[in-house]
Amino acid sequence: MTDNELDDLLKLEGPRITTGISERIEKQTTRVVRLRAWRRRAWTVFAMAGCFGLGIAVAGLLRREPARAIEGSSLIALPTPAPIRSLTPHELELQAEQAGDAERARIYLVAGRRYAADRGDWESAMRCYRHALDAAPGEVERIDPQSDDWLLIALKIERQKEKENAISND
Amino acid sequence: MNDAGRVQRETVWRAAVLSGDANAWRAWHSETFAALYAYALWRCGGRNELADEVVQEAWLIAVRRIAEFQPARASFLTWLRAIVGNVIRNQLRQKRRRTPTVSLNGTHAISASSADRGERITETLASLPEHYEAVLRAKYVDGCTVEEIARERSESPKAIESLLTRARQAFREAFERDESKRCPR
Repeated sequence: MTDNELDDLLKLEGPRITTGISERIEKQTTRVVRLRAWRRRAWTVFAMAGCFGLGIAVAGLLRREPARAIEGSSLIALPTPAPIRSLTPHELELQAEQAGDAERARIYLVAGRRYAADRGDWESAMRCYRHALDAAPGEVERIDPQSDDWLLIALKIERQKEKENAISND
Repeated sequence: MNDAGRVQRETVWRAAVLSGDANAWRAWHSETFAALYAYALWRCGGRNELADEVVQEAWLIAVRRIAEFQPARASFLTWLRAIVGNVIRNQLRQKRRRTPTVSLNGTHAISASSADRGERITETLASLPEHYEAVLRAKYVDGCTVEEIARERSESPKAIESLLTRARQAFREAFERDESKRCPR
């Protein structure tokens, strides 16, 4: 075989592309790319739905968790009737005024705590605490740093000093 | 375009296609189709019917395996050409399995007269070592000069001339060997 014959064999005589082959292949392959996009979107939606479901499940678990913690905590040791929890501090104060001797001190204490903790209304809290200590003078002796706020502790100490002064003056 | 620019652009296209961007794929396809078809047609000895089949299969493989394409290692066209080469080799293997050359009375069943020239070119090119096939492709399909091939492969023009001579000789020998197999004296 001569060099010219070899060149003729290997030379590509201007590529004659079959009509429509490019478009046909483009269509076929683009379908695969689109399918990939659809699959990707489906996976994203699926993953998001999964995350959402997981989030709801975790939120549900967390909501149940504090309830269990409260059941065993010392806060529940101070029984607060359900209706009292739903009343405003002001309504509690009114209720305490009308309550019997035994209940009055307790309701004033709850009202005072609520004024202080919920509203930061220390003036009203002090008024309620004073009424509570008036209604139950024995409470003055019991300072509990767990449940008493700084104002109640201060009032109790003040009352104790007043008591001591009165005794020493006698 | 320099190689860094090519790598950057093909990396972006690859990511776009992997994320399902059909427009990126269409752009990539239209940019490389003609060059790939020319290569496939050359490998198929100028037979359009076979080239159509090979190119179609190669593109389908490419779109499914696009995640395997590494722009830093080779260009998209080079990767596609490798797929075309594999498709042709597979087709030849399957064909050999389907129609084994049966010897009848000491002569081959397939006569030289019925043997298609294109088919022989396909088989000869498929039998050549990769570097011979690549240098012949650069000369006869891409129409590159010896200097251009030398620059592309970071070799001297003299080395490329020598490689081309050896590649042409290897093709000639393989082609003639194939001819004598088909038409034994």
